[in-house]
Formats: sequence, C-alpha cells, structure tokens
Amino acid sequence: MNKYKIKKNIFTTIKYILIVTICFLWVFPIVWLVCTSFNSGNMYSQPGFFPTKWTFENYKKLFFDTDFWKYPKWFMNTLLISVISAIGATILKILTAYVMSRYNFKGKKGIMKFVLVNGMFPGFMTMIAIYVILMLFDLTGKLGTLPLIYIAGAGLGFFIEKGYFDNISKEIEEAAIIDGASNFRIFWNIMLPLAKPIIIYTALMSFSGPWSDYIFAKMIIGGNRDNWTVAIGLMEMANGTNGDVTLEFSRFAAGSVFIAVPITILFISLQKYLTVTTSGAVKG
Amino acid sequence: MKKIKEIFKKIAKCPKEIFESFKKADLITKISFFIIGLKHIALKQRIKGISYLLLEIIFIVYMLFMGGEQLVGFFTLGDKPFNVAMGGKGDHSTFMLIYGIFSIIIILVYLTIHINSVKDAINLNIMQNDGKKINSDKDFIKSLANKNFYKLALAIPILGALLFTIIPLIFMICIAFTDFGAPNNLPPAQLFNWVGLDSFFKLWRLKAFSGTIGKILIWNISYAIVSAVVYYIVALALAVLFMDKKLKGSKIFRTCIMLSYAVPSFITLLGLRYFVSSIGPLNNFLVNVLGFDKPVDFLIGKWPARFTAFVVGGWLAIPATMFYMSGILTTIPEEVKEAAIIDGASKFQIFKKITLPYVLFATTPVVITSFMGQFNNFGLFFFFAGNRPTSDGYFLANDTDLLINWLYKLSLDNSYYSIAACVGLIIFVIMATISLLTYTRTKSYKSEDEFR
Repeated sequence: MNKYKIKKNIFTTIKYILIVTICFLWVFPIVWLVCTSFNSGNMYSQPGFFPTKWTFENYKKLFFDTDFWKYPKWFMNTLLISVISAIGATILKILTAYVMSRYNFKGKKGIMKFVLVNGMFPGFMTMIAIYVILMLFDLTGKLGTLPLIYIAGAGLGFFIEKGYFDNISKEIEEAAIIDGASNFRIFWNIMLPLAKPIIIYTALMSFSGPWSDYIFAKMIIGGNRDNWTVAIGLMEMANGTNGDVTLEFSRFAAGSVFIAVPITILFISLQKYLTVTTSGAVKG
Repeated sequence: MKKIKEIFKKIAKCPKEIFESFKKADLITKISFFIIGLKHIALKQRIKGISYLLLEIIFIVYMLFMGGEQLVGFFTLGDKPFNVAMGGKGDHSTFMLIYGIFSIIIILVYLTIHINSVKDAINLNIMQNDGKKINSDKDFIKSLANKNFYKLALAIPILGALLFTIIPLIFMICIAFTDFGAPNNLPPAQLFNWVGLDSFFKLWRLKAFSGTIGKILIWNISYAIVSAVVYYIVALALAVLFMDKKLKGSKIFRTCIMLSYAVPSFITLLGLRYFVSSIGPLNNFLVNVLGFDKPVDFLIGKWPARFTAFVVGGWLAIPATMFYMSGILTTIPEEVKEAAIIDGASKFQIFKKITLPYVLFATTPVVITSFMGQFNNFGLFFFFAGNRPTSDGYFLANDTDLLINWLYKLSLDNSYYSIAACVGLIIFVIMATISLLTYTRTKSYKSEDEFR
C-alpha cells in the first residue's frame, strides 16, 4: 500500500513538472514581449531576455512622438472599423444563420453548397478582383471601405451560427405560431434572447477580426499613413527602418501589448461563450 | 449522372410546356410573356406588377446603352491600349473583363426574374379562371413579415456575397485563362487577351515556374500532413493531461495556454520572428549564458527555418485544438467509466479501451480540418518566415513558402496575375479533392448534409 502511494506521488510530481514546463513554454514568449515593451532605448540595451532598465518611455513615445508613427490615430481608426464591422457583421450573420436554419426554400441547398465550395478557394485569391471592383467605385484608400468589405464577407460565414440555431428546439416557435406571432416577432422576441451566447461569440469574433487583419487592410489602404490600421503600423514597426529591426522593436512591443491586453481580457472573460458555441456547433 | 439526365429532360420539355400554356392563356397574359408585370397590374397586384415593369424597362435601357457594349467587351478585352499621346483614351482590359462579368450576371438575374414573373402570370391566369381569391397588395406586404421573411433577410447578404465574393471569384477564374500580368500584359499601358490553357502550360513547361511549383508543392503537402498529425497528437496528449479533475490550479494552467490563443497571431508571430533571429534574445541567451560558439541560425538555412516554423506553428495551433478536444473528452458518458471501474479495470485500461477509441472516433474530422488549415497557413510563413530572401532555384519564392504564399508574392508583389490565378485553382483542386474524399465518407458530414 505504501509502495503504491510513493509511486503515485512520484507520478503526480512528474505530472506537475510536465504541466508547469508546458505552461512556461506557452507563456514565456508573451511574457517576454510584455517585458520588452518596458525596455529603454533600442534592442541592444536588452542583451538578455529582459530589459536591464525598465521604463514607460515606449508607451509615452507611442502616444506623443507621433509624427511618423501615428499610433493613436491608427488605434482610433481600428477601433472605429472594428465596432462598425462587429455590429454590421453580427446582425447580418445572425439573421442569415437564422433564416438558413429555420426556413426551407428553393436554392437553400445551393447556397450551402456554394459556401462549402467557396471555402476551398484560397482566401485572398479574390483580393485582386475585389481591389479592381473597389477601383471601379473609387473606394480604394478610404477608411470606410474596410468595414464595408468585412460586413459584406460576413454573410457567408454562418455555419457555426446555423449549427447553434439548429439545436434550439422547434416547439417553442410552434407554440408562438399558434398564439399568432408573425415570423419577424418570433425571431425578435423569442429566438434572439435564446441565441445570446452565439451573438456574443459572433460579435467577439467580428470585433477581433479587423484588429489582426494586415493583408487586406494594407492592400486597400495602401500608402496613406493617416488611414492605416494598427496592424499595418505594427507590421511596419516590426520590419524596422531601413531593415534595422532593433530600432523600433520596443515600440512595436508596446503597441502590441496595448492592443493585445483588451482583446485578451475580452477573450478570457468571455471564455464561457467560446466553449458553449464550439460544443453547440458539433452535431453528433 | 441520373440527376444531370433529369435536368436535361426537364429543359427539353420546357419549350413545349411554355408553348402550351401560352396557347391556353388569355390575351393580357400572352402580352405578359413579353412585357412582364401587366397581368399583375390587371389583377390589382400593383406593387409587384409595377416593379416587374420597371425592371424590364431598366434592363432594356441598360442593355441598349451599356450592357451590350460591356458584353462584347468581355469577349474582345479591347484592342487599343491606353496611350497618353492620344489623349489618354483607350481600352482597359481589366475593367472590360469585370464589366463583362457584371453584364453577364445582370442578364442572368434578369432572365430568372422574367421567367419567374411569366410563371406567376400563368398561375394568376389559372387562379382567375378557377375563381380563386387573388392576393392583394396588402397580403403581399404582410407575407414579407411571414412566409417571405427569408427573402427580405437574405437580400443584403446575397448582394454582398455577389459583389465581393462571387464576382471576384469568377473574375479570378477568368484571369487564369488570360495572359493578364507582368511583363507584357499589364493594363492600362498594355492589353491582355484570352489565351485558353496557355497559363497552365506555362506553369507546366517554363522551367522557372515548373521547378518552383514542384518544390513548393512537395514541401506544402508534407508540411500539412506532418503538422496536422503531430499537432493533433500533442493536442490530444495535452488535453488528457489537463483534463484531470484533481489537478490543482487547473484554471491558471488553462489560462496560460489560452493566452497564446487570445493574443492576435500576427503579433506573436512578429514577436517570435525577432525572438529567434540571430540578434534576438534566444541566441543571446545561447551564446552568452550557455556558451555556444556562434548564434544558431533558426531562420536562415532551409531546414532550420522549416523546422522552426513548424515548432512555432504548433505553438499557435495546438491551444485551440486542445480546447476543442477537451470539450469532446468531457462528453464521454461517465456511466461507462464507472461500470469499467466496478469491473476492476485500471486507469490505464480505461484510457486505452474506452477514452482513446472514443476520442479517436470523435476527433478524426479535426485532423482533416487541421490539414486544410495548415495547408493554407499563410500567416505563419508570411509574418514569421516571410522576410527571408528568395531562395536559389525558386522563382519569386523562398524555400519555406507554401503555395498560398507564392500566390501572394506572384500577384500582389510582382503582378504575375494569370500565373497566380492558376496556382489558386491548383490549391482549389487539391482542397476540393481532399474534402470530397474524406468528408463524404465521414458520418458527421452526411448528417450535416441533411438540411433542416
């Protein structure tokens, strides 16, 4: 019995060591990046993993030394784009998913098949064409174009949301129909409150999308620094000036931490909803 | 095959049916075959009737003044390039192609509407003859909130998809069959033409292209397979490790792993790029503390770079997969386990005989989605390994680039549009083949296919 206990203890210890090591591997790069944002001067003043002298200098520079790196402007641009896209995309996605889940109509199978096939084409193969279309309407280089594109693309990404609506039982609706509610009222007064978790999930995803979109934003906005988003600006910082990456890296770290912190908090505090939806999307 | 035959039969039957119902119809319905909406107006369905009529007028005006020209432009793609000396006038092949696609789509959409309106008119005529009640304008508006709510709801998403998904897709597929792109066919100073399969042949025959695509394809496929399998195994192992209910502080541990998932990936990728670079902190640590002779090249040589990217890719992909799998692990029915414990099964036996088979069964689709995701893992090789110089024996690519990264470099950086479109179609064919082979065989797909 005693032998068994010792064996068990050793096993548990090994397990904990393993888990802590794994967590360390995953957390360390992030901790490093956060610490680097407090580094003073260029990267040569940080010879090891952590700064030798800790300052808030980078954050101050981020918001006040803005002649070339207009971070506050980019931040506001991105915030605006994200909020608009999140609202628009969520409304569109939820409505589409609801209709695709609850209505039977001619062409529904066709739409489902098209979405499946469309997903097999590499995402930005069509970017050139979108750019040409935007040129026709004289929409390139403008900030307002980005939410337009994000929202327009959202309607087709309804699979997870549809899965969630599929799992809401139909009896509630049938009762409402007997009571004489119109389809619109059923959607508004019954389905929407029931779908709160998936709405939060969709909004979170559509909000965080624009924060990390570099490729599309860069192609549409191009060289006009006033209209850049945070992602474009951070990419340029990380690439450095004249190929020297050490110069602006601390600034990049500060800028990254500043946008990553709110998004990360949002994700972790809404973790509950993230798992709810993934389990809801998987049907047996 | 049977389905196709049926469709053809239906189409063959169509003219006869139309002719017969035309003969039976009254005069105003007959006119409605050509001037749509008249029958509706005659039966006091004014909203529908007037919109049909307006649509037809708009369509005819459009075809006369713009559509016809645009449709022709789709086939010719222009014959006079822009010339500043001639006052900046000329044909812009790119715009002609996209306008051509617009016109074709408008024609198709209009034809569908026209046919539907005629069908509707015939129905109205029959209902009138049978003496049935015909819906009024009021009923029509009411139906938008009820039976036809879906049409209202889907209008905007479909318009958005048409403009920014479907038309661009058609455009790019068309581009693959033209010679659009550097060096000799770049509008506005130059024109481009329809060339059939020439771009594919180029990709096949020209050594610069064929050598590159061969090497990239082999690397792309092997990377996708190895990473999908390895990440899957690691994620499964981690999920099992973290699942233990007696684990103290499991919430903290889970949050640690969750962090890498929550931080936008381009940030961590750019950070890690510096982290492992020759002047980065990892190499400083190796040289100064551990006493290495010289910095380890994590991102310079071919295989070191590939391996480093593989590790970093795992760092990014495993957390999400792990959380997904722990979700599945918790759905194992507890009774089965309890029964096994009563029967005297050891922990290891339970894992081997119950948990593992169940998990393997439930998570095989994960391997496939993971394969597809890794096959097109653009971000990893763009942000993390993207600024490596072009490699020897590669045309505008380096030896860690996946097909999709090459597509990006070909089109956005270097304007080889038609070649890039061909590469895009090749990626599509690979993706489609894999999903057809695997998805259709798994049960979960079949049940997903039963639309409600």
